[in-house]
Amino acid sequence: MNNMHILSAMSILVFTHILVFAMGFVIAYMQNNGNQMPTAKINSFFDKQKKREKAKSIQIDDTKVVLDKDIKTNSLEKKFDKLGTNTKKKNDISSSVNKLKNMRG
Amino acid sequence: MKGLDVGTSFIVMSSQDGDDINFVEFRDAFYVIKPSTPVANKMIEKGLKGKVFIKDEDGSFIILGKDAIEKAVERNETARRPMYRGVVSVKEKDAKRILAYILKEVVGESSEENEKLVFCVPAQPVDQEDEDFDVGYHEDVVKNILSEVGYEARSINEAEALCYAELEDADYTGIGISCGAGMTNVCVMLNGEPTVVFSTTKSGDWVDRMSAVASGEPDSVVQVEKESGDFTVGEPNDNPVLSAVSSYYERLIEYTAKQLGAALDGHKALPKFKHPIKIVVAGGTSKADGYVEKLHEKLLASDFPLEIEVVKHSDDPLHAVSKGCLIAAQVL
Repeated sequence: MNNMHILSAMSILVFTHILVFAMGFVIAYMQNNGNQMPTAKINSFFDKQKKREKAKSIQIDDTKVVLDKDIKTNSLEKKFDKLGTNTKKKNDISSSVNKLKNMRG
Repeated sequence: MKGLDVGTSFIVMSSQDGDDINFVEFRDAFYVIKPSTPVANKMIEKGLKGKVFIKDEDGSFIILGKDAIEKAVERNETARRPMYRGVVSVKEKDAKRILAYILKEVVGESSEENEKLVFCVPAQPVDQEDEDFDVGYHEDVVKNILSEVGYEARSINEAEALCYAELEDADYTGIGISCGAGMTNVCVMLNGEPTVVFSTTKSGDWVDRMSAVASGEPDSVVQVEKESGDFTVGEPNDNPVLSAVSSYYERLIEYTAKQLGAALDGHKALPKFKHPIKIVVAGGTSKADGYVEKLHEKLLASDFPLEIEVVKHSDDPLHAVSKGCLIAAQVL
């Protein structure tokens, strides 16, 4: 009789352990589900970075001049004689030019 | 052939005339007055006699250059700029139009078809995010403006131009530091080849802004005081505006020296110089008394990775970059 009591008590204990273990799984699963949003965001951020890096490797033709049609100065009426200060300085740059030309071959 | 320094504060054009160089410089600023009545229109026009100004189709008066700064100071306001930190200002709606007008007037029509002109552009800054600064659009805008008046325009880095103007006696080996209003540009050159170029976004305008905040005066007032006042970098001054200017100048120099050291330390493209190098300094901001001496002092104190032979101030700090552009126009 005593043995039967012990056996049933042990069965209840084992069953309780299994139940707690299973609940742990359920809680972990639920928490994992909740975390899926930020994980997805991080992934998309890195995707964007990758896309940017990819875009950077594309060469741009920087020799083409942007023809900006907005820069019109015809509507501005001149109301002065001279603009700017003029100065003349003794400064022979021919030696600099020759030296640089020689250095550059 | 012509050289053109398109600066945030000054536009300087240079052309050769025998053994001489002709420089034309103009203050890069404007101030708009919009008359409210026809009577006011006539009064304003009368008051502006002898000043450099243009009239817009909407009846506004656009005062240009140093007259714009004078007028702004008179009205306790700040003059506007078509350029900001070395490039066409995105803050100003009229920036491109005003810049186009000033540039066309300063350089004039080309003397022959596709006359060569070299202008300077700033380098990518080391203290600002890439996305916030790009020189490509500015370059295109300036090229476009100059092509309209018949020039075949090419651009070079601002500090590279300075090296061409100032490092002949050092076989074009050394460092050029161009201290403009909007930016400080740096070029490390080895035998005429630029090896490292970069810029920092703090310079004279930063000193004006910070001093204006400290003294409660508009930026234009600080600028005028700074340019006409008597002060030495890092030394106390009785004038409260100049006292703030002196103090912020020292901070700027310390910042520049630290940025220079940090940018060059361990840089892959930095040459291994055999001898101590010459550093040449130019630009409007460097004209302050004690600037060059203080920069030398701060470079030595900031673990600068190269041995320095001398830190020299350009003989003509405001025209040196334009002269370098003129030399480049004849070499390139």
